[in-house]
Amino acid sequence: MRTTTAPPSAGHRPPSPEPRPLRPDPARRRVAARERFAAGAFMTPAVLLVGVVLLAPFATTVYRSFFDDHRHSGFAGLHNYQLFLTDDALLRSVENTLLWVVGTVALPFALGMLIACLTDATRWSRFARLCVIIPYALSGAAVAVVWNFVLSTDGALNQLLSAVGLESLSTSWLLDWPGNTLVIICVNAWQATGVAVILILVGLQGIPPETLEAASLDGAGPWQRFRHVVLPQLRPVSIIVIGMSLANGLKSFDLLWVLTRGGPGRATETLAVSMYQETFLLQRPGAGSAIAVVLTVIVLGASWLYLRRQFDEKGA
Amino acid sequence: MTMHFGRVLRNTVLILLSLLWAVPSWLLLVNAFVPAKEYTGTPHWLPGSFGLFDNFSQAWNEADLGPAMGNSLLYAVVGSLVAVLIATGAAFAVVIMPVRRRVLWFWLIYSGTLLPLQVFLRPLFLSYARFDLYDTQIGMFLVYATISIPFAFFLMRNYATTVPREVVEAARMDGASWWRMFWQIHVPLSKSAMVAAFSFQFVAIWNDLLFGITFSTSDNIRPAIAALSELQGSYSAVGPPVVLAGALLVSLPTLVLFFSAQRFFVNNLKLTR
Amino acid sequence: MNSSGTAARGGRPGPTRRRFLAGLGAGLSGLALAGCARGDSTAAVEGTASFSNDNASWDDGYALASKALQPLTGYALRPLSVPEAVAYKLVAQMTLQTSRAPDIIKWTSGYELKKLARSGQLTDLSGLWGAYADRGWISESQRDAMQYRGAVYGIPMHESYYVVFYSRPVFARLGLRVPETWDELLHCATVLKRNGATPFVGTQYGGWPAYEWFQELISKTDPDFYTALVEGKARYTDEPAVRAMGVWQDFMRKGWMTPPDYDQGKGAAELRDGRVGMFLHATWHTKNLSGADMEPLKDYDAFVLPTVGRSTKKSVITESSALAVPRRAASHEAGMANVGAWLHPDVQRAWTDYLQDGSANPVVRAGNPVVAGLRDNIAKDRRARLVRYSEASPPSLIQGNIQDLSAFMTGQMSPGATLRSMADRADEEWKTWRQDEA
Repeated sequence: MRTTTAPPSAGHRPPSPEPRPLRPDPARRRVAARERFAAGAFMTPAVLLVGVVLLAPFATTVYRSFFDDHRHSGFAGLHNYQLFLTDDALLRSVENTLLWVVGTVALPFALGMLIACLTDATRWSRFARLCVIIPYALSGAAVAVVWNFVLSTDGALNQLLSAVGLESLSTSWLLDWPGNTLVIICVNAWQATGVAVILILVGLQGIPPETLEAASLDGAGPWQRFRHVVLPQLRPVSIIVIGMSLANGLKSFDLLWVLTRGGPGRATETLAVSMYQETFLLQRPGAGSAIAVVLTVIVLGASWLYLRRQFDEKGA
Repeated sequence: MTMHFGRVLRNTVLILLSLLWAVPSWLLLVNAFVPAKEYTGTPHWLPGSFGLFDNFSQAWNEADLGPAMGNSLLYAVVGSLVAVLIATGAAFAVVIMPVRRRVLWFWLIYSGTLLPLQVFLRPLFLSYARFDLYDTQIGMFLVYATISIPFAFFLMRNYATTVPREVVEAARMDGASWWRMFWQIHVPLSKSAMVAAFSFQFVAIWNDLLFGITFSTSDNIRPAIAALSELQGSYSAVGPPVVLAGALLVSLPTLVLFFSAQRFFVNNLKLTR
Repeated sequence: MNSSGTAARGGRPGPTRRRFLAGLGAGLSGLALAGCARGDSTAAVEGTASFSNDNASWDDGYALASKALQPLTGYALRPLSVPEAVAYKLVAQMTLQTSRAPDIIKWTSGYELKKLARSGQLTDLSGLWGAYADRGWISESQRDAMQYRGAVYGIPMHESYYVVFYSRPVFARLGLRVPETWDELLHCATVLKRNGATPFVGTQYGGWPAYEWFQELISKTDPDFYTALVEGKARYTDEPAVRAMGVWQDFMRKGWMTPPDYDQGKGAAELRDGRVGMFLHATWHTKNLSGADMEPLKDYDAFVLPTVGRSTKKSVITESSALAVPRRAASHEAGMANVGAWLHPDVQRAWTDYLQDGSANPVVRAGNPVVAGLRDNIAKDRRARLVRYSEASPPSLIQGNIQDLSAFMTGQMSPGATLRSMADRADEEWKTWRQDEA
């Protein structure tokens, strides 16, 4: 409701909260300058920190990607980028990254929505919610050890399967592609859904109960109420959850690194892992930088395409 | 009748989902209880003898977790608090104040969260060493607060667009300064989003390993996750139960945070209804 | 966080603002406080030599060594650790270029050390090596992995061997004895398998262990070929390599190897309980065996893998980290003094008794009887000491080959394809290495 009544603010049409002055008036202009100065003061810390600590190092990475990896590094043009045409492992890595994007965008969002909407304020519901949130708060070390327990060939999952007579289903979960990538994406969903649940809960707060009641009175069933009342109002939250999952999916590294290190062979590598491998293990910073640049272009491009559309439609 | 069926379906789905989620956490808990010497190499499903406190103390001593957890707490609280405040301010400016090129500013700040973190290691390390920030608390604050800003900004910006504009305009008419409006109107209105942003960034900083192991070596600087990774190194002689106990111990603050955050979210849910 | 428990409504902004200002104030004063706090171990400390390493779990051992070093040199050892190997390499490499260079660094011997020496950032330790050699405190077999263009840049930190651990009670129960020949080894495996144990631990979990069986089978097939292979003078597709891979694949087909995602961390417990029979690993793993409540000689023992052919020359794979002194070390003198006394028997006894592993000083007898026995056996059989695979060739070649071996172990690549891929990589990486050398 709030979103629909809010007048357009950010986006491609820079509006101003006040009516545009009809004629240039020095006093007004001074006010406008002061306003802009005030806005600058609010933005400066963020822009400065991000610019110096994050964007500047990235700029050096872009620069580095045009130099080769010999001992006396020389200008190499686009040579490092040619890896994407010749290296099979890198192509597999691109494939995996795409799988990750689909998996991390769809799974935590769908599951998070399901759990946030199915649970209510009862004690038991809260317990269920807690179950989902706990993994998010766990450190990577615990996640790695536990999931190795579960997924290794002689691990808990296969134990369980043979205990219930489904031995035929047991397999080497982390060893065969593409199963291993899919399994790790599910583990990621296990850990990441908690965030989605919380965000969606925060979004549910914003839905005025009257609109739901009104829909009920109009004879809408639960599914229709969800589809036509809840979902549209969760829009701002959905943008956050999906925007975040998109970036995290493309950058996925931690979980892969602790579970398989991109292996066996290079079967589960994503671009972020390939970049780490090239830069730090194979000691080819030029090639690593090129992968980082390509990855960043993909993340930026995907986020831009998604968010641009969302901001536009929302009119925000 | 259909209501009843819907209820059953709903509860079944819920039970299945929470079981699915709880099993790995259960394994974590149970195996952290296994005394290190009794560990056989296969995960336990049921709690047997009680070795949790021995494991705790072994992890605590081996990895020197006490001071490390203090460091982490400081970084996570200060880092995410500063980040959320800075991000809320920037979001306020970008959405509510009259600013030109909003889109450009948005992408400038938000792009920070789109870059893979590993990219920063080498260049940041070199400048840290150059400006004497390597292995200092201020250096850790700097990197943690900064990596937290972009996402917190994204969150706060989206919430800012949902804040009813009439409130702001009314205050403008009354001649309130931007500073006053920010603190007295905008911040209280965005509070639940700020708490959410704080919680996420707290967890992100608390669970960071990459910067912790790269930018610190001293005991009075190193965060807990970096200290914990000593237990897991290839030379380490402690078994999985001790690693799990250590990981559990280190995860306690984030668990407590989320437990109370959940309560906050639920209460707030009731408040608005 | 605690401020959030009581949700204030939008109508009463006063307290909220104050609370946030208080929070901000607390944050800023925290920052101000933090300005004073800096790492206390990276600054130079009088009377100590800082020692940068990737393994903080050995801190107690460093302390014992330090206690022994101080009377000899006047300098204590002050460890600084980065607990993850990749991060350590990155941090150490970068600190060498700054004013915060440590006085001693622990580094991987072999080509990693050569690369660092090539960049001109290490001190030439040939003088120290000569002094050790005069007293018979070092074995020349370690020199290859420590030198670059004829000068020595590292002093070995310890000497570990790649051996096969087994459980004495389990072997006794099954009527097995330590295999002296290949056939006896096969017999042990058959009996273990028949009794429900997995005969061998072999895994690619964690990455590098993928080459443990590779280096073992190649060197036990033909040690001279192994040396030629790792030096780039023989090809991965040559006959001995093909034979070794055949043996390995045969072992896997017979179900003699653990699954390739086996975690070596549980190897000790499973060896004790008889679920795995023979555990090929380095002697520094003895500490983990003690951790699983096993006593040397009583519960476990170890042997060097027999050669495949009866007449094959006997050999053993050795490993050592190197201690090096950065050229720009803040207390260069302290670093040199402590590295110069590291192999002193007093220091080595304290250090290796802690480590339960072999000393790089041939005079010092290992405190762990299993390791001591292995050393006697190596001396008696005049085994050739071979450099471990990952130190014997350029790092990028090793890293790539580890990935190929791991693909082989998980059945993604046939033995032939694996060897061909490794051979192609070797051609390319050696070419790069030689180019960089020129």
